[in-house]
Amino acid sequence: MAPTVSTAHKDLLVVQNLKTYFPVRSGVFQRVSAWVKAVDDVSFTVREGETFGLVGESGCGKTTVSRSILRLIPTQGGSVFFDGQEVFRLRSQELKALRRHMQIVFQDPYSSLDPRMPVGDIIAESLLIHGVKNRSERNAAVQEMLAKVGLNPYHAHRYPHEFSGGQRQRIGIARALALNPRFIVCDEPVSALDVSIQSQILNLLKDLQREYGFSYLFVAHDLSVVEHISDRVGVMYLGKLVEMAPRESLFIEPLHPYTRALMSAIPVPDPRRRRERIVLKGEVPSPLNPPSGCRFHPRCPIAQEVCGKVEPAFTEKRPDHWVACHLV
Amino acid sequence: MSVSAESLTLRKLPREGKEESQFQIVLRRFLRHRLAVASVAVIVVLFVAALLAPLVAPFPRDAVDIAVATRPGPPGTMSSQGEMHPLGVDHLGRDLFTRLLYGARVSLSIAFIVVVVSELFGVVLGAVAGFMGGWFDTVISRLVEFLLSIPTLPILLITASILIKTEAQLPLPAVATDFVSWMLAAPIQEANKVVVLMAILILLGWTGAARLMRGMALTLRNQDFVEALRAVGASNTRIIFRHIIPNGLAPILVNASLGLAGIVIAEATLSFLGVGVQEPTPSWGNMLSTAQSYMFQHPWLPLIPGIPLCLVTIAFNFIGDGLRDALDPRLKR
Repeated sequence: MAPTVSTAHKDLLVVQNLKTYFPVRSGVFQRVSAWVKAVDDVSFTVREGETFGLVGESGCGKTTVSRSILRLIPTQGGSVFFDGQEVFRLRSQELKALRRHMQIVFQDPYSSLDPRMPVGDIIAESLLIHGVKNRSERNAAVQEMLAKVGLNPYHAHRYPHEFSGGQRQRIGIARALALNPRFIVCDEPVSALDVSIQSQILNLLKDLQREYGFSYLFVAHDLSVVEHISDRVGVMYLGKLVEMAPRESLFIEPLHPYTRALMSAIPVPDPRRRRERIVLKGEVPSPLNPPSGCRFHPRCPIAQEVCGKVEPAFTEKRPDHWVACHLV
Repeated sequence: MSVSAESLTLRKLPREGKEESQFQIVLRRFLRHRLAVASVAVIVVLFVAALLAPLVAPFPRDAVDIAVATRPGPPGTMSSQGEMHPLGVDHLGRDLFTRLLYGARVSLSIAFIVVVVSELFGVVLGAVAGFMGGWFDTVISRLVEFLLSIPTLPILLITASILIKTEAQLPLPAVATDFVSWMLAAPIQEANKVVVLMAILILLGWTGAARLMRGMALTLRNQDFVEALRAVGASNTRIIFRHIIPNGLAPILVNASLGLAGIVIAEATLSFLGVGVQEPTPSWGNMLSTAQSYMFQHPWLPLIPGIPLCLVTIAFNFIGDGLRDALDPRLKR
């Protein structure tokens, strides 16, 4: 049912050695005393028409990755190429032109829509910003987008507070679609919704992808959601990508011990089947002061001496299956 | 479950064309606040009276009736022409009702102009400071703190006495002074002095709105919808003026209506102390000031400007309360 796993597809988005650090300021003069390495040296690609899932627990930097790519927050290093253009080098006008092609759908459907603006205006505003001056043209586009996401034309006059969470998420998707983008960041688009609504939104996202052929960077912490929607999956831990593979190979044969622990936490709807649950010890260390060597080693069930000293390289251990671990 | 709930709400919602706008919701909630509605009525009546002062007033503003035997004269004093002074005459023999009407015009005009201009300043400066942060925010915040930390009355007294006694002229376009002169129903020279007074009140009055708006901007700028706007390439100007300010306006409206009361009082205080609106321009404040000298022999005299002053202040406060309740997003419907 998914598009064939596809080295044939062209790379649309290339992220190279992305580093996003947040300064910690202290003292009277607000001097930078330390850096929180939220994203530290992350590289991956998103291919044309595919869905790249990014998973990891809270605070691992997956949302930061998505915001960095869109240049919504400043980065400390690395580069992002979108269709050959280097995003971090663009001047403001070029960046604005590029924003047409890269859009975002947010996690919280309550804060992602301006409460004082009718839904139609929210969707039309991005068109206005990108120079669609003709009002009736904008209105037509709004009607079309509302229909695409399964809302009614008369909803355009209503305010966000008149909608349910799922409906608001549809509005957020309509807003992202309005500019006809080629790449959409979905930042945990369903984690704030009821389970029954989640599947509706996921299917909507899939249908739209089939129709328009854009790529998704799908950020989530729910593995079953990621399995449902992704073509390839990246697993993050403490600001680093630890594993990246096509969905099938990742879910059938996870290589990194962290990914294995994550997989073992997926509940199986079969009361008779006992699963080997790998329970990680300890807490996630602070990204302010990450562990030496492999960042996962203090919690890793199979850690050896080398893991605390040498940082493992991110290498292709199987075809298209990348892992950062000494022991795989 | 949620699916059926969704379709239920859909059926219940009004059809297109009958949607209740946010303004209608606020209006409906405001109308439930009886005292606030009554206060609006009081303000409207006073406003109309002030606006119609040149038509309604029985005498010219500065006409002195020297034939009246007792000056000040109590309500009901008859003029030399046999007309009645409904509220009596002041120490110079000027009709108090006439001066009260013109005074209302002066006092209310000052309050409205000062509040509108200072809230505008405050809102824009506060929104930009809160949204942009950085050095601009530091400068604005320190300035606001500075202005709020100095005691207002001495500063008002000093600046007002310097500027008004020296007859300073502000470099304003003629349209502005003409407008003020029309608002006050007073000649240009008198209007000029009032403009100076208004400028001082504005200079010290924008801080409240700026602080409120800065706070709102600080919380709003971290909302996802602002991030979404950046993601589509919206300019900072658009984000601030189309999104931040409209979302932060509710507390500003409340602040403004309370500010109206504050400015009416401030003007009265300054005029009472002799550095506000100058004779012969009437204002409620300087009417109180002159009444003071005679109030032990004629205790009704200070009541004539005093009662409307009280009414207006209380009314503006009630309107503020009503607005606060109507605009409170936590209260549903």
